[in-house]
Amino acid sequence: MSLLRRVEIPIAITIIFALIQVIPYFVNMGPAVEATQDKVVRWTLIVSTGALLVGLTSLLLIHVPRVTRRRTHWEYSLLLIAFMFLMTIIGLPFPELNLGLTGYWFRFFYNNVLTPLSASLYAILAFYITSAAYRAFKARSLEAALLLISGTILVLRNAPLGTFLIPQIADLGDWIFNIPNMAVNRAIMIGGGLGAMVLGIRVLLGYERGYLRGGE
Amino acid sequence: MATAPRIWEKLETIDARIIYLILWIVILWPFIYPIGLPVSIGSYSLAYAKAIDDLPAGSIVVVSFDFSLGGLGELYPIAIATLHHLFTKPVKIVIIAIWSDGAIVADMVLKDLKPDQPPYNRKYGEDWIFLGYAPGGETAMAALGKDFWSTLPTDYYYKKHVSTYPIMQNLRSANDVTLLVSLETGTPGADEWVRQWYVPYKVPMIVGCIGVMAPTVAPYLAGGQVKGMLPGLRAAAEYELIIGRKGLGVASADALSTSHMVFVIFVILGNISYFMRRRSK
Amino acid sequence: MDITPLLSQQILKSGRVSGMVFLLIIAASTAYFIRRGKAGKVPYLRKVPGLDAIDEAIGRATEMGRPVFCSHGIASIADATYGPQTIAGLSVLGYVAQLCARYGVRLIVPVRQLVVYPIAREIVENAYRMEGKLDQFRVEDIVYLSGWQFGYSMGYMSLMRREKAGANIMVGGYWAESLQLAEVGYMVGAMQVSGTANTHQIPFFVVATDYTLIGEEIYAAGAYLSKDPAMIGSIVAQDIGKYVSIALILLGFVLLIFGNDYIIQMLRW
Repeated sequence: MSLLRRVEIPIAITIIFALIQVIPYFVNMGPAVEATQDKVVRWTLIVSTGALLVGLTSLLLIHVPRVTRRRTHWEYSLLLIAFMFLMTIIGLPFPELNLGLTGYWFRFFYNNVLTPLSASLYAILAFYITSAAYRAFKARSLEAALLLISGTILVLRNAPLGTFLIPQIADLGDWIFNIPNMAVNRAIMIGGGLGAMVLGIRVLLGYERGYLRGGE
Repeated sequence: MATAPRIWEKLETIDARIIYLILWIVILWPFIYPIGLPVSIGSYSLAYAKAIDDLPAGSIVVVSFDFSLGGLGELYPIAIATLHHLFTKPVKIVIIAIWSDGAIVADMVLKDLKPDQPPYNRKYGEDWIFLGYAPGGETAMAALGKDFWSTLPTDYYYKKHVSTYPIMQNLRSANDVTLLVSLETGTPGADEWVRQWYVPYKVPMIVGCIGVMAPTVAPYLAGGQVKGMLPGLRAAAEYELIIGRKGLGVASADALSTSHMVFVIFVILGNISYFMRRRSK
Repeated sequence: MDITPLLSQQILKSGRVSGMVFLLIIAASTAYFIRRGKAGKVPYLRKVPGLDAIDEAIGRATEMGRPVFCSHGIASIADATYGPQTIAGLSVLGYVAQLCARYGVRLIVPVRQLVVYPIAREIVENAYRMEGKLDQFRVEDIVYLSGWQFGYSMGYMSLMRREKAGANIMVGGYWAESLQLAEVGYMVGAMQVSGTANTHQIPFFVVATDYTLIGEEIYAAGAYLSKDPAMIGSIVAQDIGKYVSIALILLGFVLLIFGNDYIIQMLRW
């Protein structure tokens, strides 16, 4: 196996850089170490920027053949490629040409395309939650019935009409939110935090290799 | 009676698009014909407003836009009302963004509010400043806590060094901040602010967030790290009523009522059809 | 224990000492239980239906002749808080890829984070290599969709509709897109397994998907699926952490009743 394909190398890199972050978080190591820590964080930004090229390649790899071979919906792929390059060009920092993030064209597309698209896509959730609840919110068991009742009380508590018709629903809703909900949330948060810690330690010890070529 | 079970079966497997259409109509309807239902005010909204009302004159308040365009529906009314409330108080306001879109959203809100003009007449650079986007997420929060000047060296509008503005003379680190306002939809947001600003510097904060984030922020309210919270549109309406400036929050309250009621009706219908079908089997 | 000298000499950072002690306890427990596991003392692991259902979902997709979708959330692997969820999701991806290669079913991996893209690709490619089916690996099925959250979810949703997903496995950090993806997965008739530690998204997954891994279960996924005794042993360390947390909560509660806030002060060290 070539040296570069050996799994020990990425594991060693992971351990070294993780320790550079973890130890100075708890222990005062002096300005030199903290400067190194900051530098490492900045490297991640640089690596992320470099990864843009990977994304560009992946997108072109999928959409260019779709256009050239006139596959189904190839028109959308063409639009995607065109807009990708268009937005890249109008985002270039040349204010004298009205380009860049504060330039007219970037703002134009941002305000008139991205803003309504984002708001609409987020709003879809209201529709999806209603259809999902209609389908799944059934009192099939005692637990499901409890979930159904408490969920309905909170929905009513959140609607002005709910608290207007049944004023007591506000107190009941607040109680559910503040007591059982908070208790469960804290338990899941603690459990999740512990799980993340143990996973991190497994990574540091070189046992968790799922993120490295599927375990080998 | 073979038709009865079929009705329940049909009702249970109703085409989702019918649900969407009904929901769309009941959301749209109150915007055209407002009902004007009263909105009762909750303790979280009162605490949020009180945290701003109790600020001593001259305090420095940092308002962070930690959301992108998706959150506009719920957070725009909260952002407008919060900044209006702050601009009417004798405090210094520093606006930042931890999300890249947050800077653009903040700019939109500021352009709508026009703090330089009446009724506010607040001077840019002296009473308030907009520093733009600090890249790096949680790392940026930590860096701002340590040193504002080096993390955000220039302002958003004029690209001048922050040291040239009088408001920034008294703001070097999180130790100089009296209150942090985080307007957020997710990550980085309250969790990260608590870790980077509350734990080391004990900066109290208030949070305006989308409704779905409420359970995540709530433990910090009980823990005392967060002083007040406005989760979603209903809270926005409550807050607008508290500060006496009716806006999009109050205007959306009726739609909130009708949509929530339809949701409850659908859940009840779904359960009736489920039980009727089971009984007929 | 008095830690004032350490703090006054500025060796340890104030406010972080209790966290460090807790981390050391968990680290020591993890190392100890890994050793025990390696020595053959494998603890009993309760069944996690969500993880067991992955095999069923892939088998079902194979029978239907439809592709399997597997995603690992939208968080960056470099994120301090949410990165571990992505790592957990990638561990699941490795397992899913291996099964897909074995059964000869098409696997589509939608990616949002550019930094994760090469890792996801490498994982899938290696799984196909290990199964001796490298010729069936399709790089164009590891799809970078968009860095923009809703661009990603829109692309994911349309891919599922277009390719008629037979299974949709989502384990990792998900935010507002969770319900959109789960609901479209349901609409196209995919069997769905989901999992996240983002508490505010768990209800959406529970309502809209067939099986949901809740919070800490996703972090145990890699160990559970690998069936490696050392890895399974490490999960016990999570329980040790829980015992310590419960003890602190109860002790703090009792002491506070008697007007003593020592535990709270200790946690502020």
